[in-house]
Amino acid sequence: MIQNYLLTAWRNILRNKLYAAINIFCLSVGITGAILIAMLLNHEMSFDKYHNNYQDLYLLNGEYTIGGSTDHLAITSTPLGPALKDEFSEIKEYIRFRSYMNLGVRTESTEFIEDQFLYTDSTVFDVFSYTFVAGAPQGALADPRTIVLTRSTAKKYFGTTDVIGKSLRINQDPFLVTAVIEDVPDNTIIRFDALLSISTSEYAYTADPFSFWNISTLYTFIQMHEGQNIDAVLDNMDFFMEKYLKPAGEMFGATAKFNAVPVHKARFQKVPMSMHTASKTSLLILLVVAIFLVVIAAVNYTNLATARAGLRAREIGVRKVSGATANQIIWQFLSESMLVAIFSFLLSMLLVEILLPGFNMLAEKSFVIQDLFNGNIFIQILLITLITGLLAGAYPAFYLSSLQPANILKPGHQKRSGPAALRKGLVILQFAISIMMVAGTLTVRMQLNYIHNKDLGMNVQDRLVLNLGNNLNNEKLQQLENELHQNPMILGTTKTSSIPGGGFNTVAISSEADFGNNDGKISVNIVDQRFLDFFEIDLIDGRNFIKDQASDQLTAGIINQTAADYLGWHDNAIGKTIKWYFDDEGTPHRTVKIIGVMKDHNYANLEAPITPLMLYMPGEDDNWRNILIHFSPGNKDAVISFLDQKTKEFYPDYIPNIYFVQEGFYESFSYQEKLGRIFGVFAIVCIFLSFLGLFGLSSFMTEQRKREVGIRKVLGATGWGILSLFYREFSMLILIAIGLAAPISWLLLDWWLKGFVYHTTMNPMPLITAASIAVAVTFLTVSYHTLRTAAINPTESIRAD
Amino acid sequence: MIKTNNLTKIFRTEEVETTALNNVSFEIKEGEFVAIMGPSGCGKSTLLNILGLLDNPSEGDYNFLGTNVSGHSEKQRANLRKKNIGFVFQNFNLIDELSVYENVELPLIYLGYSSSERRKRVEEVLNTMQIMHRKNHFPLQLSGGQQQRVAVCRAVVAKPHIILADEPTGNLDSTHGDEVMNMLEELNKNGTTIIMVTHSQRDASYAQRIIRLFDGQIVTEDKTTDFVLTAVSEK
Repeated sequence: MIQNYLLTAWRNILRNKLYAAINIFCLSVGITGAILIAMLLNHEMSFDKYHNNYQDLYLLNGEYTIGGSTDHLAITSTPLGPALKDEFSEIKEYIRFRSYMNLGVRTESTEFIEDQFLYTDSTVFDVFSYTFVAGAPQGALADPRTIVLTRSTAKKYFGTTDVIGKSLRINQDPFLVTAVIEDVPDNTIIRFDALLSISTSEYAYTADPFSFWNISTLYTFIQMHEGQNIDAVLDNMDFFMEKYLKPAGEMFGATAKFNAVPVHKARFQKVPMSMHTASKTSLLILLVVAIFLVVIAAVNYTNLATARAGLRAREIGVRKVSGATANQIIWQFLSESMLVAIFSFLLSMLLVEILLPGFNMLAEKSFVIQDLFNGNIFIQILLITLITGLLAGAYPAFYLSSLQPANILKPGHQKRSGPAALRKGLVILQFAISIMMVAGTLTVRMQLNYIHNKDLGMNVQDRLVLNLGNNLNNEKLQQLENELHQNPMILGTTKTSSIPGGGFNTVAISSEADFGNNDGKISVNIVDQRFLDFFEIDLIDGRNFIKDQASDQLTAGIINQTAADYLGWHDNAIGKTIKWYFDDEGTPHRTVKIIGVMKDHNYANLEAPITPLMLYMPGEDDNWRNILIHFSPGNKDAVISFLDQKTKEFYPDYIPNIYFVQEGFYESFSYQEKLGRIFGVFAIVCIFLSFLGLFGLSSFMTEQRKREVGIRKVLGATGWGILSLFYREFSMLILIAIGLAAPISWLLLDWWLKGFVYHTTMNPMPLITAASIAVAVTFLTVSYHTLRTAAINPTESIRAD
Repeated sequence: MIKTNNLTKIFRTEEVETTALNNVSFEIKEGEFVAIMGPSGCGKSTLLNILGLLDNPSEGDYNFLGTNVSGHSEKQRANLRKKNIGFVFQNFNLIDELSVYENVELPLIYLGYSSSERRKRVEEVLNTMQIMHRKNHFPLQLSGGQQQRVAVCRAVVAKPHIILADEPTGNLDSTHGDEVMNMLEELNKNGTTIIMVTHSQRDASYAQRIIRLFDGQIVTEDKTTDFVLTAVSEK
């Protein structure tokens, strides 16, 4: 039976090559899109599942309350992991990771600046799964100042992976390479280029790690004993908090709570300072896009199949009088659509192979075609194909099986199409989806433009960062800065500890009566006296720092308006004091007197609102790591090569690390940028598929109405008259599609925009543009076929019928 | 074998109600060759559809092989139909995408015959009807007469009790028409009941009995001998 179905289907494909081609091509484009998105989604959902113990691994998050305000952070304090393991038998192991920015790493000949080095516990290889290239896991990170390199890092430093026993200097200290492991895969939140023994780091602070309860600087993972529930720990933490956290917190009125997230889900948590997070909403959006693609492609098939139902009616009649039941007819047409889906699947495998490099660039991934055959993904692809085939064939199958042989086998039976209302509904659906996709793409673009053009309250244009790593010599640095000033292309320089657009330290400040009720914490940045002028940040009260004035070093602060308001001082901040820098007993060791209030500016990034900030100048002996350079517009390349050359003069072994201040501000939006690009490409695909569907449908409809057009022409209709006849029919559909898509996209996009702290306002332009594209596509397609039909000599079209 | 009692079929649209058959009662015995005649629109095809279990009557009883089938569902009718009835149409109604062999094979597929049994039966009937040499051709490669011969093969391949023929020679010239009528006559002689709708006196002359319809009602039931002379003179 099935053989007979497939045979008929195959011969139908051969006899109607244009329609078969449209069907197969549309479905394969839909399936290709869905496969690419499935690859991406699988990748995104696979994070850290490659660790053998991943189901027992959790990342701890802290909930810290200071002075009435609570911060959720993915980082915790140094002693938390060891103390938990001591107190809870359910916990098998803890692993901590601490990252450092701008670590200066010196090989025999060169110095590198590294951001992806992590200090960690020696048991890391018992808990997480890494593959060793050289050396062994046992004891690799047991001693202070030991380091395990990844394959790429070993090659970068030494040109080989045979590096055990070699030494590196990190921040001036010698480190011994004890092992080399394979590069960590892309699908992990724990990304690094090298692991350093955490005992080095602890050793550097103090011999007693328990004095660090108040400083949260690292990520703590715990491994439960197999079968143990994390809730057994989290629900019974009262005694633990009483014993460890309470004494530490009481020093300055802070409390803490902890919760845990499974390692493979940690990627999706929205806790600040989480490692390499992603938004689940974005993934959901991609899933919806994949569904849209399949639906649009399937709609094309359904539409063409029902439009052409009349051509198959006689066959159905014959089959029915030959004994076929309605169910058998349904199965026949479903197997036919499945056959088309299978051909489309084969073509889509070819398309995936061709498009993968481009998609990799778009999504910043490195998928290979072999990935399709790993794990669940192949099953998913087969399911996508099956669903597409069923979706496409279901309606035609049910419709055609309901035809009555008594009606369709009459000699005079007209080859009528299937229900037009359904076809119209499906065209509306297709165009509504396409309009939403295009409007979505344009709105994402609009938001990203808004972010890029937003007034930060400071000028970050044409400003470069020259990071000097561990070349901590103020005198030499001062000489370099003086030399830079000699270059007429350089308009100014400044020095700062934190780079605007990057991470800022947040410190606890002590609570005193004159601070108002809202004291607690403030972000700080160490700057020189040129900082405000350099970034064109307005001072609205008080004065700027004065160079070499001893009273301005460490003890004078300039706060932003938000800080003034936060501390309850508003317009009255000058002369007030902030105390901070607590010792173990909770006594503040530093008092800063406010000398100025600066205008609010987005100093960190545009993902979060402006928070309180204080600038202060360093002490005599403090060293700088960064010089920031403002250059005259248009001289970027010349200035960069000048900086390169000057740095080499001063620090011959050092590879200068030069980048734009601006980069940091938009880095956090790179995920949205990527999503926007992917979304944009698939929106074009949706429009293209809708166009193809409409092309096939209008070709069929005009062909069917050829005789009508002929008669109208004989009766005096003009080409325009005939065009407008078809336009009327299709423009109504597009208008309904616009009417449907507009409110839905408006609501969805407005909701999406409101998820950003800084967002553009919804405006109708994206919708108008999307609608115009849909209208233009429709009119072009319909015009093409109508004009072709209208051009036929009426005597031919009438006779041909 | 077939007995109808006050068979009525009414087609209703929103505005018009058309009575296609009006209290039609008759009986056809096993092995008979009956022609149904009448002017266009008199209800011949409607009657044939009901007799062929392609449609249900609006009122009245239809007794098929001893069972009242007038209220049968589509599925029940399909089941009875495929086992007992073969159809021959004026416009042949072959499936263009299937070869001669595959067209004839179709009823056997739906009856669930094994592929070896199907081959045996199809080849047997193609040989009998002398169209075996065309078995791999497609309908559009055949002449009208050949197409109708294939249609007859398809109608008889499952060895049905009854063959319903709707104007079987309507699209054929007289030579091919005679060929088809001779085939039907031969089948009838071998015991197959044949009910044929026709406009042609000449074709009707092959039948043993003629039921004449006018405006949905039976006006006469004749023995063909009554007009054989006319038919012969037509020849």
